[in-house]
Amino acid sequence: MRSEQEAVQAIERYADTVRRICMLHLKNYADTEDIFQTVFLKYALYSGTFESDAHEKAWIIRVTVNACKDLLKSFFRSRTVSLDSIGELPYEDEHREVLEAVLALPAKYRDVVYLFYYEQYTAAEIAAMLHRNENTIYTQLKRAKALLKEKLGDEADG
Amino acid sequence: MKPMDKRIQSAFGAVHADEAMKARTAAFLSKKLYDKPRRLHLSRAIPAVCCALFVLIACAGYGVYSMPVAAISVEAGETVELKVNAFDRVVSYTCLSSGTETDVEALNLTHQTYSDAVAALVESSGSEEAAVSVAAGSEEKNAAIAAEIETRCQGVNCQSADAETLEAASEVGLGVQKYAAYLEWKSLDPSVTPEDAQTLSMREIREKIAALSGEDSATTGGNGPQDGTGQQSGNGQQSGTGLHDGTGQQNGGGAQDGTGQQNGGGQGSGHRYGRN
Repeated sequence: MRSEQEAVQAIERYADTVRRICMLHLKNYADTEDIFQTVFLKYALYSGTFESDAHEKAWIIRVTVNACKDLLKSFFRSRTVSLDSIGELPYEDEHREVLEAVLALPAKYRDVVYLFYYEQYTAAEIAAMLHRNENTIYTQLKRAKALLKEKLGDEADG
Repeated sequence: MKPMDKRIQSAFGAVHADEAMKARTAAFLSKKLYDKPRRLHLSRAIPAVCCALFVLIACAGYGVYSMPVAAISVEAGETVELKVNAFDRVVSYTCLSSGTETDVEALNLTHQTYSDAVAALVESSGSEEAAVSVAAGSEEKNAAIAAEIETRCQGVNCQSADAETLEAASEVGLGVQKYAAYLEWKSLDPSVTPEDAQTLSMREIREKIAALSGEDSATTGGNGPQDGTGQQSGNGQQSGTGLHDGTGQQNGGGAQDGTGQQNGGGQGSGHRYGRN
């Protein structure tokens, strides 16, 4: 079991990452908080050793994605997520527009988009993290990009 | 970087976990993992409890094993009183005749079955006058023990005795049957002491009794019982022994005039378990 200090440091380092992944999957603040507790509890109880910070972050991302999926399996949820039901989101229109477009994507595309565009993982890394085929990741990226272009307009593509 | 990429990055970059949520998560972990008082782990408690139970059971078992439930007085050369537990094992013994402790110790009577212990005493004494008295709290148990001893030790006769008599005999350093004889002798000669009886064999005590009884008989005029007395003296185990098959007179027969204590030892409370 990790020390309390290690756990608190992990919260500081990865809270934003966890928050963003929760935003992609969950509908309300209470569920987000549940996932926070679940993920960092697992982290504190994890007895393995991380090879690097990157390894540690990838582990956090994987656990968060799985925890969200497990929570969603518990009861019926809508495929689309409304920004209005999620607290503490940026109020700038530009950001809300992009986030709404991302949240409107099919669930399986959202993580890929986040990990590729924001965390800047490669398709291979994303495939390993999400236990999907690399070609599948490429396909999902391509389709997600097309949908985002459609939503955000040609101007977004430059 | 393409504009859309930048927009997506920027949009996600604006999403942060609020400090309140981070604080609550930290508090949750602290309470769940780090602030709990040390509890006794069952994995450690169970072996400790098992050990304690084992010790308790062992002590209780030892207590039960050590508790005597019967006493057997063996008069065979030396006089030894055996204490027997519920498992028919000797848990302790007392040498009532002085000077024999070393010989008896060498027999290692403790933890032997009572029948083996009696056999060892009889064999080591080489005496032909072995007499055994049993006090086991009930007639049935007395009879069972006596039967076992007589089966194991040929020629030994057993009597039943009550605990009080056995204790009284033990206090003066005599076996039960010798004690009965001593009382009989004392009734005829009040000057007799237990020490006098200790130094004599049963046969010799019987002879003393016979001599005194004979003198008494002579004074009263009744000598018929003399024969019986003579036989008794020759036997030395008249007090309720199996050698007097069916002689109800044993219990206060003509030879008993003035004695009143012929009743198989124990002052009228004895029963004979000899082979009749």
